Amino acid sequence: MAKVKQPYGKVEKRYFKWIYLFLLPTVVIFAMFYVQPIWTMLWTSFTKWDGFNDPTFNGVSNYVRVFTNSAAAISLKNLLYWSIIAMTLHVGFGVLVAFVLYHHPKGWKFTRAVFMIPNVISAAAWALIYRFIFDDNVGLLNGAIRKIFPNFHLQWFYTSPAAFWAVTFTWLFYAVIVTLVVLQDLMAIPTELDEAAHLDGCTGWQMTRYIHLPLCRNAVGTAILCSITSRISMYECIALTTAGGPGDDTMSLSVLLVRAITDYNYGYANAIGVIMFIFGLIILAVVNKVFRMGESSLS
Amino acid sequence: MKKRILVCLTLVALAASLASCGNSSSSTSGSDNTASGSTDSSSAASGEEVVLTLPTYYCGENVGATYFEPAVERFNEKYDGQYEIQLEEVVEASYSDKMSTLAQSGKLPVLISGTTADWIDTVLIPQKLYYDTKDWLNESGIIDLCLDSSVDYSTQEDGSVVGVPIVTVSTTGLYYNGANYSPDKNIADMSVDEFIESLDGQNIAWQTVDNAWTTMLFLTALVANEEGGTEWLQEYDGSKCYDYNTEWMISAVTKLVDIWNKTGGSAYIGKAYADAANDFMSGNSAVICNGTWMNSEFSESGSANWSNGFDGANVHADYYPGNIAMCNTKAYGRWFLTNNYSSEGELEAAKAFMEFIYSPEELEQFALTEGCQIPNLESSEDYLASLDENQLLKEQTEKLTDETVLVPTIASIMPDSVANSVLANELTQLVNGAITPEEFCDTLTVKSEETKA
Repeated sequence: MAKVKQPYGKVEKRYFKWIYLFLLPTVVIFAMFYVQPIWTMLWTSFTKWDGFNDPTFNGVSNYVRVFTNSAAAISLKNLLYWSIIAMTLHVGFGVLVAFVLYHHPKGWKFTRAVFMIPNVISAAAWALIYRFIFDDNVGLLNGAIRKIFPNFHLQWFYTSPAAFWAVTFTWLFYAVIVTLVVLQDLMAIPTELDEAAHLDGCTGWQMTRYIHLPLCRNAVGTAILCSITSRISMYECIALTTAGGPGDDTMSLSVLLVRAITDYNYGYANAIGVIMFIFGLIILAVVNKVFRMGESSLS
Repeated sequence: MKKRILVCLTLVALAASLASCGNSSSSTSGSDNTASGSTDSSSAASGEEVVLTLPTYYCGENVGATYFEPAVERFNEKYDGQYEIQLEEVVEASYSDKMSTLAQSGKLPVLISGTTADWIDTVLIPQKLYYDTKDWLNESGIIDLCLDSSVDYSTQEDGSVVGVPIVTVSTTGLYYNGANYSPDKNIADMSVDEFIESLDGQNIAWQTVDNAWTTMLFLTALVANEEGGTEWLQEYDGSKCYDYNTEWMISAVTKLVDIWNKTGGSAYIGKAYADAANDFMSGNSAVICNGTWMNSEFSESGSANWSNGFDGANVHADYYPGNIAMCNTKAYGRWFLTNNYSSEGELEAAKAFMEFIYSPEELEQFALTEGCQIPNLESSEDYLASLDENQLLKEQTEKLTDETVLVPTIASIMPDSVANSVLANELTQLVNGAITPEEFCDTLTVKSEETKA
């Protein structure tokens, strides 16, 4: 039966002015700090602009430059690989930790707190720490490898293709957001469901596979969305380790964007920004569709 | 009806907020605007002390503070009751951005120092925000101290002059540790081959990370030693080059790889400036390429950074083989006056400060502190006596002769993004053997072309 929209009553209408009034600050702030910058980014992406003087319209030439730029092509390829790694290994690891913590093993609270620590350290600091970890002379990693292979030498951040993996390792296992989002959903699962499953003879793995995991669908979708969009905007851990090198091996769109700003090519930088923005929207739409976000996991 | 009115009011408020936050393209020139932190005109007119607030990064922990903060104190003391300069600390990396923001809001300070040349070309000149210093430079006599090449560079098509052209020059050469390396003659008098042979396997403190500064300096010297290289570098002094597929460049890069391998280069992959400096100051390398601002690192005050028996007293300064030194002479000067002054008193205060800073005593103090030369100023007895106490500066001054060939660094003729990151990224590939010198030069060319808007 079609849902009939009920007309608002007099009492409800009386509160409209207050609703709009309370919404006003949010709308104004949203317009000032989101809509206006996005709009400026969009229209100036079709201009030649140095960021200060008046922009001059140059059609789609900034976009043509992006798509004919070899570094941009490598950036897109890297984005694809990093997105795949993010939604599989990164999210997978975060979900795994969430499921382990959900069963409250001994010391789970301590583990959760320790797992949180990297999140309160800035990405910039982590990038610098990783520069030392991956250093050939004094780095922890090569020191450990040389215990087995004494002649091993590799400058991880400055050699192809090791640099790609070294950059990937700077974020791969910091999946605390994924863990918290999934853990929140797991803890919200009614205990009656677990009890009923137990009575039906469900094993631990079956419980995870057929009950808990499907009920965390929205959380996993959210985690994948956050992880991939983080890869689109990823800057510090590249800029502070490889700066996109060696060559353009670890290049990203955000590094290219900053380089364009360095050269006062704001129109070109904003074209890159628009492309990043569109990628974000596409990812949002795809994840929403695939994970049926917004629908209850219990339905 | 009420609902519609409220919606309309919401939209009006939205539009008003957007309009107020929008980019105002109105001109900020003229004396209608109030400069950052400056006094109003009434104070000057009534004979009160004129206070200028100067946003700068030459203060606090910045190396520029060593000279500048005491200089401001001396000025304030000299003009007590008439003018006062107050410093407002700005982060060096965001100084140009801060000036852009102040310019857009019509609050550009009357004195500016430390922006990039690109900022001058993009903001200060096109928006006509500068005060034409031509007449004042002549009246004050400062023009006699300025380098002709910089005066030409700072002079606009309409004859106006932007800022104070270059008066002091910091020539960039190299340092060597006398405890590890004792050349038979000045390095500047050697050829590149003689220099490498004289090193006898000692390391050069290379750098491949960030902007690969120390390596870039040596590459510049190699280019300048190639036939046609000096002319090529000098041709682009003050401008940008977009073609590196040249005979001299490829030859210099080929030599760089060879020298890199002979002087312990593989140990320097992934090394930043601080690593190169530490390497030199721990005696691991015998030579480091750097500018005169490093002099203070080798005095007793910098001894906290020394290790492995390194002694700054053993360090000597020299220029590059082929008597090459690096210095940009076709460039803007250090200080700029803007036309954003709120009163004549404020402008006079700014001029008085400039005349103080460019007085012979202050220039010599600046040269001694920052380690630079003043080509158009006859040195005083006191200055020469002070030089005797500063071995490195004395060597740098004495070895800089009429025969010394001044060239701009190769980074200064590259587009900013290429100089800041592309050069280092490709250099890593080059010394790793992943690309050839020809490919290296070709990539620099392609990347430079890509920066063209």
